[in-house]
Amino acid sequence: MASVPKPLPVITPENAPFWEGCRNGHLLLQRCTGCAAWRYPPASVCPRCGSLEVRWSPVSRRGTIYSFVVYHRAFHPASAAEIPYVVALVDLGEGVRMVMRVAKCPVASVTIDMEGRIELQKVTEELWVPVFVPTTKISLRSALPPLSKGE
Amino acid sequence: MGTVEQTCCIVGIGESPLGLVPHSSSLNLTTHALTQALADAGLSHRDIDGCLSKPPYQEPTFLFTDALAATCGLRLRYGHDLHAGGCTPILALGNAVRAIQAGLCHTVLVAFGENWLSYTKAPYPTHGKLHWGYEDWEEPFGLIGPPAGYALAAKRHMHRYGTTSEQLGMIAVTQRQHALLKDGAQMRRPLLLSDYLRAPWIVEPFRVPDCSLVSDYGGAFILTTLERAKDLRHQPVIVLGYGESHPHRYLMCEEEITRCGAVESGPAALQMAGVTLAEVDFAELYDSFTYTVLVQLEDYGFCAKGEGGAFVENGRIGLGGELPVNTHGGLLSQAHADGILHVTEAVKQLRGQAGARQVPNAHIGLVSGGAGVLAVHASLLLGVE
Repeated sequence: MASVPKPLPVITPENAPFWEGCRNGHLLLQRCTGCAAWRYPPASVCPRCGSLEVRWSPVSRRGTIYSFVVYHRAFHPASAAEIPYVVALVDLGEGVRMVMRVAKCPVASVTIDMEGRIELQKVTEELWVPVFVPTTKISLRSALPPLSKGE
Repeated sequence: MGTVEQTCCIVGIGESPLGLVPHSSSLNLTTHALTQALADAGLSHRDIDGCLSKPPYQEPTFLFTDALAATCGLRLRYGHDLHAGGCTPILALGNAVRAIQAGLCHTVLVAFGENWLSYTKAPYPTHGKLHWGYEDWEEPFGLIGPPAGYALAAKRHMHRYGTTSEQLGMIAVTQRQHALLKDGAQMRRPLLLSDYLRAPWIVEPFRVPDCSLVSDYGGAFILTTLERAKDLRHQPVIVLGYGESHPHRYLMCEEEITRCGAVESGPAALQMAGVTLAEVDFAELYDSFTYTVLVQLEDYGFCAKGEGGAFVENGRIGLGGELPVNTHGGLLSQAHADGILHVTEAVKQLRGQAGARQVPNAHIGLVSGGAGVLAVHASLLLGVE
């Protein structure tokens, strides 16, 4: 079966350091040299202080799940084989929130406030994306399917 | 009294056929609704000197409003394109009122349409489609399609406030009851809470009935001065106040995603109108998803923060309830019309033309709009004397 290409970003001179970092195994985000605030997604000006000066810097890669959803339907043909999968909003220690897939963890065991580490996963030879890998110990109870009311 | 002189009113409304309307371009759906609005007002196209429209999603077009005007023979003194998704009707209305008050024009048509559903079945020839602007920071990361962003907010709300699936379901169930009373609504079958709870997940915590429809639609309304409205067919529906809010562009940049822009746009509109929430007789709330309704009920202040789930139970938002919401079925059960049919429904309610859906003694109605993932919000208060 021919594989369907996954959705890929448009890489521009402004965002290239992020994607180059991912490809080389680093998570680099923009940090304002004026007020030291981290920002994401990449932007040409600091929304906090207005400075144009910025440095791409590595982040700690530790995060906490702020919220998450479970995809039961593919919105892109390339993700059909991966259903069900989890997408989360992940709070980084640096005060930045990113959206990414949750990996290496049973779908039913994902919870809000779960802690984890950001790893980089290969999409194509050129493109690697951050994913969240929980490090919170999964209890047997939470790994069981949820007993949703009315199901 | 409000903070701004109330000098403008809606004098005509139009709706095209809804749901699946094959072989129709977005422009044709728009002209259909526009023609209905002129007939409803008892005006000719020569009476219109202002127009605001929205370029279609499937075919963003340069100077679309002028293309519409040329198609319909309008001679404009004022007109431009406005693209703010489901906020477009209210943002356009606010711009139109200010243009009329500034003397740039006297009668403004707001009209747009989309062939969104038929496009998914048999793509109508186009030159391209809209770039949403956040694809690069969401899609490669797995966040694809409209439901997931709202579902992330709903999940956090459930975690923080204990909101349940059944409570989201009650919104879908209530709006379906309303749609069954509305001619031409896309959804014709009743929906029980048990049906809702058995419906398949789309993006959990959303099931199929939590999500708005995909529809072909055209909608239009005409604004003019109260002075000119005296000679027209219908009782004028007065623009009492409006407000807008722009909390974020990317959901991931919003610190508290269980809050929406109604927190700011609501008080702005109420203050301009000089009315209180207690005076609102019904609400046509933007309902991209069930959760969107729930969070607005809280953030307008119809109930305390976190109590939206309890508020939508026990028939409170149904016809005959304390605050009838989305009396036409909304985007969830009538048709996804980017909020323009929320405006036309409010006008019908205030004119007393809503038939079996009529809210008794409706004098003040609240209408809201939303765009992006809780990114832009708009509020509108309409009333009759």
